[in-house]
Amino acid sequence: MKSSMKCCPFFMTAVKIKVKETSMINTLEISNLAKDYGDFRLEDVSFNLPQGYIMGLIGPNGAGKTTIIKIIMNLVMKQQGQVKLFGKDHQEYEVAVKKRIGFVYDTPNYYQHLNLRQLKNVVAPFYENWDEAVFNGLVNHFNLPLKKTLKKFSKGMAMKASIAIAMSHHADFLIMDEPTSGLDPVIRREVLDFFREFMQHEDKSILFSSHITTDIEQVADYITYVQDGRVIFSKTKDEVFEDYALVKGGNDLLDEDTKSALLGVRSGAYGFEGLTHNVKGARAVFGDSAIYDPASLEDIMFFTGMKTRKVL
Amino acid sequence: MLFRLVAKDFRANGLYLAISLGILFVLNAILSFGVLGSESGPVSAGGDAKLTVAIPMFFLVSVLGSKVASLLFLKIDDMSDSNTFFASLPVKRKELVKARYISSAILACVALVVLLLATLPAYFIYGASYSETFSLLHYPAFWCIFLLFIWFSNSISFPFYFRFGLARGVFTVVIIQVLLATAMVIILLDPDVREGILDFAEGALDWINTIHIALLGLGSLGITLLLMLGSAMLSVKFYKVRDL
Repeated sequence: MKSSMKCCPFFMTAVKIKVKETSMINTLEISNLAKDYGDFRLEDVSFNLPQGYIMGLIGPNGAGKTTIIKIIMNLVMKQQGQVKLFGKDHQEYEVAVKKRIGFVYDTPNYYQHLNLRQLKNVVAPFYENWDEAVFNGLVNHFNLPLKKTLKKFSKGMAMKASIAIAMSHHADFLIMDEPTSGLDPVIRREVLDFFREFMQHEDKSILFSSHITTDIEQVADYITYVQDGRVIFSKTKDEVFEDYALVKGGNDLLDEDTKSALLGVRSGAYGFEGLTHNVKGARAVFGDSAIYDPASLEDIMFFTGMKTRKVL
Repeated sequence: MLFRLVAKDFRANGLYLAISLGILFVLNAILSFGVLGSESGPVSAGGDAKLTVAIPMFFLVSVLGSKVASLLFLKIDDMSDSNTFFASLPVKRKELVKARYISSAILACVALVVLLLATLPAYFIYGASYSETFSLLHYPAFWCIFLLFIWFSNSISFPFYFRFGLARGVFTVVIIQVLLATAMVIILLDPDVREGILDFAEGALDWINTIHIALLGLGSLGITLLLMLGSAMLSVKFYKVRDL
């Protein structure tokens, strides 16, 4: 399966979509989540992650991704809404659900004076399922030094060490906040490959936030896009790419009416480029005079964020 | 789980603990040599004056030193953001708070033992059994009072740390202390009030003197432990809803 996955990255998505139709157990269910910080508000956040899938949480910096993850982990208190992990309330069954979660920070900077072996000795007693063999396997897999102090670790090594610590108790659900940000391309690929390997077990799930859209495009089955504390969409990756498209054409096609068919538009001397989430509608407006290209996640983030940036 | 959390503190911060206790040991050892050196030879006319300086100095180093040591783990957690990390583990926040109270209480004991041990080299080198300062400082009740004082003081300040975080908590406690001290000074400016308070304090001391020392010790311990319990409950209440 591993080799088939490598040669055909969409293989797994296709198989799983089929499974999804027959049985749908949600690893994560979030409904109507709200949190008010005064200068920033998370509002009516709702999405589900079915078991066996990877969800990418995307959005610009400050969109609320980390807050959502911290609320899931009960590190930040929600003011409204419900979070269920493995079908159980995340606060009422906090200890039970956290036993099944592996959590990785964006910047793991705790206990920098310890080496990896010492950190493992501090963390391991908290997990009944801690598996020394799995830990040693991951340390070897990531080529991590056990006796070097953590403060001497590079960002990539620190992230891999956090993953090794988070995964050694047979976690069913991996939650990661910006695991690939700041990593060089080689280590990023290594981390993403690890996600794929982890997902070979069908009962596992991953939620990871990132503003590196190519990472999400590579591995995620579901995409949740957050902007200004609100969920813009939460769909399968295929649905996202089916729904959104880039419309390109000459400036003569643009007027106030045609602009309203686009979520965001930018125009230059050679024409315009805009995003639509209704390709049929856009075709009705622009006809064959425009070109319709698939939109990347970066395009979606850029054009949907235009409104906000203009307001600001 | 509580034991694991307390053990985690000592296991993870062993190096910092050893360094801090080492510094306290050296400081108090130097202080001991200084005091005994000045007290060696026949007791001079100024002996009492020296004693009145030496005792507060010991009190200051011992109480401040062990108070700072008792906050060591809180400080490390605050600096390294490990609070957030441990709250993400399968542990209840209530347990995290309880463990912090226990490890701080243990740290205060350990620090006081180290401070007491630090007085011994000078004691043996000078053979200073005649020293009035040392005969008083080696009285066990003296150290028990220190310990209860630190536990008492931590019980007052810990809920602020758990509510606001260490840095803001310390700031809040200091502000409250300054306000209270100022209010006290203003109140004491009135001679009638001052006299009333002094009479009350005198009466209270007379009453305390009538109580058996063992009963007094147990009573003080009981009150301090009750205060710690109440303080821990308040801290749990604050920490359970705090955003990390």
